[in-house]
Amino acid sequence: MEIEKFYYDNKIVKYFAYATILWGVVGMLVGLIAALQLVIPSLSFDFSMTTFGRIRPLHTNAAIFAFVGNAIFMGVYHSLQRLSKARMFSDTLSMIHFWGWQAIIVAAALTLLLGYTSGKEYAELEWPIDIAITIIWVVFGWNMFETILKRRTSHIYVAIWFYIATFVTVAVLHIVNSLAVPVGFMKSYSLFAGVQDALVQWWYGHNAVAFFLTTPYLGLMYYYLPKAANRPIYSYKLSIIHFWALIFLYIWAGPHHLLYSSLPDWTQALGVTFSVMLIAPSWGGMLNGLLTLRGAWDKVREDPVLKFLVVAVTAYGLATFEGPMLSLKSVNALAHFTDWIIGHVHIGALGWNGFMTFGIIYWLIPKIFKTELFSKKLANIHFWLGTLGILIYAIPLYWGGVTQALMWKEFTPEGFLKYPNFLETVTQIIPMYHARAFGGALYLIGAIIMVYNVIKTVKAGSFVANEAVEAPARVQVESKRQKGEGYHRWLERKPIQFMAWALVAILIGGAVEVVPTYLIKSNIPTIESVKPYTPLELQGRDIYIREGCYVCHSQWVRPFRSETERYGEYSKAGEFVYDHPFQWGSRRTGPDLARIGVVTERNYKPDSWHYNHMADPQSVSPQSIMPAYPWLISNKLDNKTLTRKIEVMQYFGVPYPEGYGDNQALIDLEVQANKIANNLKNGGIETTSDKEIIALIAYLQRLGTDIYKK
Amino acid sequence: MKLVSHYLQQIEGIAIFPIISLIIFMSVFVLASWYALKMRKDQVQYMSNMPLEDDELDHQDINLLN
Repeated sequence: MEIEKFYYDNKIVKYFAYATILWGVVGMLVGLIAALQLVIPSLSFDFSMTTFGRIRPLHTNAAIFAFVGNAIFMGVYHSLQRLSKARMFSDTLSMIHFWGWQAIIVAAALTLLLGYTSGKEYAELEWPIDIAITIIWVVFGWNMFETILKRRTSHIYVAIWFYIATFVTVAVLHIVNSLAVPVGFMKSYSLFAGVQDALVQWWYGHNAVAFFLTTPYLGLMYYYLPKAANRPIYSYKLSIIHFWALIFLYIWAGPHHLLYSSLPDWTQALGVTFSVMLIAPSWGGMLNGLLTLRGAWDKVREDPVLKFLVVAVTAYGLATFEGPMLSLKSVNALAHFTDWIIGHVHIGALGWNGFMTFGIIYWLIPKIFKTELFSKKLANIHFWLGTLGILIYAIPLYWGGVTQALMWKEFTPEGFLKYPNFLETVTQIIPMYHARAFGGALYLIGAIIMVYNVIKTVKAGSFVANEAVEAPARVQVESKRQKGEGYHRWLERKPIQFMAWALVAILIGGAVEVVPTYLIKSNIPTIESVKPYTPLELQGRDIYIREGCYVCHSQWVRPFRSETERYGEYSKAGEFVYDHPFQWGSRRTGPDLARIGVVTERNYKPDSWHYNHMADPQSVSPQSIMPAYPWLISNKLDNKTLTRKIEVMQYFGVPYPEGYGDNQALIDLEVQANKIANNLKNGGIETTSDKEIIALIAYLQRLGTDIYKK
Repeated sequence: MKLVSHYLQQIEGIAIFPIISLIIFMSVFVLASWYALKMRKDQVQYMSNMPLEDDELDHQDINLLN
């Protein structure tokens, strides 16, 4: 047999490892700032770029796409070469991938802080960046597939299946959810509206969790856990069932983010069913990981790497048990919109993703630097700080979440809301926010200790950029199935066909749920009195999106008495048909705004109240934790793209009169703005009608009012 | 888009989609399980040992780029 000598590329692994560490610390730091802002609102500094509404998307994007993203690439570039017994296909593509991804991260950070956002959670980046992501993702896929194709092993290990499924699914999700029509550089409107947009968004949102935070990490688990424990995975057979069941089930689960919304019932039911079924493959995977360590638990006591990996897999088990429970309608009715969900995702993010990443870094850095880890003791301290940090982070949020939900739902014996003032339910859980910030700080300190440990390790070692390897050349087998070769066995040596089947598996779920909702008219009953936004309201809506109001305020009243009492009539599908994008939100840090404009409802506020509240929320509600938006008071409304905005809406089928954008839109805008400015004048507030705040007030006063019109 | 959606709206009994999906899932699941259970022992061993094979040559570093 011919033995070939070749070299693994460790340089790209090192680059991605450094990027993971850097962006990890940045992402966690931004998260800590966001956590502190909820306790001390003045930490938003009355400055647009540092308000919670922009900081929070920066945190989520940094944690998911910068920290976890780079960690995925670090692990894939390292393990793929070794599992394929081949160097990466192209060093140039590797470098384009690396620098391209870092450029995207920097662009994302800047634009999010500047207020450029599509207003869709975890997909906030605007269209030029979305295109860049697509290109870089294709570069990654190309490099990966060429490497798999030139491999020296006969078959493809299960870790690589997970990488393949990740690549293809993220591509589909990203492209479909980012479909939008630009109205200018860095501003676009989602192709979908209202209920359809919500469904596409949460099909994407949930599968970002599935295929960005879970499947690539399962791939990493299937490589690094056996590697660190120095024993094969407990059951390879189980991993096969795990893989197919997981990718097939996950894709359906998205609608559990929209229970009790105006999404069609059958879609909600499907989402719940598949979410509950997900326990099986998830726990299959977790047990497969943990049982790999059977008979080796003494090693876990010694080795910080294994400690991190064990807690990571355990956290995965916890989160994937909790997820299906939260998707049961009765539990969801309580937990949705509360901090319970924030606690839940952090078990996943800090425990599963964070600890898996730390474990891999502690294992990998000494390997590629040909040395020992500088300090096991520091790694152990990191481990305990991290573990405590996770607990002190999550438990208070569970407590706070349940407390707040119960307060929202409590009635007096006379049948009135016990806590009609939303703020009461917020001040009640502030101590929990203190604890959460403390837990997050511990976790961050642990990560900083890791940075020190890694720097010391790197200094002590000598880096092997190109690692020499010898392996026999692959025996060339005919592409066709061989005699006696099972179909799946054949598939395991055909990456492209494998990808095609993975694609089929994930497309079925997406198509069955999304397509009928988009195409069947009866799924979205229209309401005649629902009319398009006026030009001023449309402008106000764009300000609402820009400031990230949806981060803290939902626009979706569920059909519960506790909600209709507090907010007004429950939301109907037909009310959102002109909402490109939808703004239903997912967390009520502040009250729901779906009916804020309805004069007869409890939460209605006059124009002057909104004006003062935006300028200085604490002057209106002293205990409020909302940041101030003084720039809305002084900024002039920019109407340069108004014509284009109207045109794009018309292109979507929003029934503005023909040619409306040319002149009439601006005239109508000014008439409405003058009216609001006069209103404010009567309330004792001197301002001019060309300010951004006027548009925002117009939008808020419109919300939820259409169904009351005759 | 309207052109496409117009025809797709005409699909009769689109409500049966969810049931079809369940059947497809069950078949995929059963097939995968069946395949996994009847997998040959030597294949399983070969596959599960893949991560553990190290052929690195005494960790020597030869810089290709210079």
